[in-house]
Amino acid sequence: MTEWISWLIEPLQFAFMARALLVTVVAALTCAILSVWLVQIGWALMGDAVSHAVLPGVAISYILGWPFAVGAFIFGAGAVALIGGVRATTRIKSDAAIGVVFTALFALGLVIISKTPSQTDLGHILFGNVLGVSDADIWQVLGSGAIAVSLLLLKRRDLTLYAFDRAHADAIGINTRWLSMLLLGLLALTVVVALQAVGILLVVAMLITPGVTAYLLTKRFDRMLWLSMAITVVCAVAGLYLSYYLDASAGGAVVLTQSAAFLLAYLFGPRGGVVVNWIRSRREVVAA
Amino acid sequence: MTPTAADHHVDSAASAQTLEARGVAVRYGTVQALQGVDLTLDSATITGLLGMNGSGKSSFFGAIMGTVKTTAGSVRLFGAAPKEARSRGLVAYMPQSENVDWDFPISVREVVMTGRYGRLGLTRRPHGRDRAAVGEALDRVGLTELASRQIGELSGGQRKRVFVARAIAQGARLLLLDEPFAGVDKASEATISALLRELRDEGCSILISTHDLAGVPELCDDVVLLKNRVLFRGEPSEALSPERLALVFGLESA
Repeated sequence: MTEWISWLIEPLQFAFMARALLVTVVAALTCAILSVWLVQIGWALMGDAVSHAVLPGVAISYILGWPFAVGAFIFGAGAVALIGGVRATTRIKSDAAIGVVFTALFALGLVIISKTPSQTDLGHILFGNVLGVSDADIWQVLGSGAIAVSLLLLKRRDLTLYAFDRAHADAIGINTRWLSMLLLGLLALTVVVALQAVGILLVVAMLITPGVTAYLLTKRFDRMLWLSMAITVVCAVAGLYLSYYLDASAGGAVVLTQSAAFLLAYLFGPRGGVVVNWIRSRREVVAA
Repeated sequence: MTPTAADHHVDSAASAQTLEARGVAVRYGTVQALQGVDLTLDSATITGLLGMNGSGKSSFFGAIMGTVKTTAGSVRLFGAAPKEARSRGLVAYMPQSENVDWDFPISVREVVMTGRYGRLGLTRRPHGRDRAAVGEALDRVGLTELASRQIGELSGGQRKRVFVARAIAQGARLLLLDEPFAGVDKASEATISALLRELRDEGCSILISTHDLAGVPELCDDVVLLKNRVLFRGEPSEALSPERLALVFGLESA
């Protein structure tokens, strides 16, 4: 028993681990909440795009000494606007419009970083640097996270209606254009929150995996939301401890833990888990 | 006692025509979906909107709901601007089955509750009267016992009744139904038709978009034949004459 407790407490004696835990849990929770709507609307690719597109924003922020959240949000929102613009003015299909915009912005970020003196570490931006977050970073994460979470929870019924039946929302006079802009703005904000924890490349995992895992476990939206949050917090904590004791990448360990949770839901989930379905079909064969 | 603003709204809604479309046109790029559509609907009628795929039925619905931009003409609903009528919850829409995500994690009761959202505040938190209205609506369409089911767990006919219940809970006066009998067995079709007649007798105006002629004569009071413009408007028996159908549906259906 005491062994267990010391196993749990040991990492937290280091200030950097305590900070990392705080940032990872806040980031994962924000992502998990947004995730349930993102995967129901079918905007997973949009999440991928926005998370990559913030790279030049982060780079410029470092160069100019801005808070990284400012540059990242500008480029995240800018990517959304550019994608919308390309879609509206050409006949290019949606996924291609998304692809052409975010890769261009990501490439711009790479070029900017390669041409500036070495105080910006590309590796940290791409893969996260949760063990090295500063106090200023923590406040940016907490502030952005609080705004995103409260807006999402406040408008959660409207967002669910938007995901389920946009035409009805229009028919009763709800402004669906405003709702989609709200959601995309919150996507950009959430990416900013999660950058520090897992880095640009793995943000999209935190935006998709919790939502689809919860979807495999329940048929109720409210329950899906709470499950997504609960699973994510457990995975964030477990992942961070794993990374500490295995001396492995923190972002990688957190995302891998989430993927493991998805795998469990996929195999054993009550709603279409493949093992459960297989057993059911065997039973039916036996019964027949 | 002086009449309140709300009373005035109801009065104007009752006296004015349910729908008044004048010269409505819709164009997507180079495709002219609707051209010069004049159409008025009275209260307490069931109108069939018949036409092939691509005849502009969906565009016309879209113009009423504000999802499609009209390039010419005007639409008035209950004597008011469409936006105002929609905000007052007067317009209800039943989507086509293939446009609904039946795997969506939402229960029958929750779908019906979305009919009340226009009356609810910022967070759409329902009150006791909203739950009561939803309960009554579910009762009326006979889905009370299935209210907690996920929507995909219902049969074709039950699924349609969920959206009728939503329109009832909403208190809508104009119902737009998109292919309400597609994928529905005969018994369910009769149940739904009976419900729609009841709603009509209470004063609702119901517009049914369909390319399926079966069921139209006995249900509809009035038929509109659409092929990017209104070709005919009148009694079902006259609308369904072979010559008229040939005009609307082309030779293969005549």
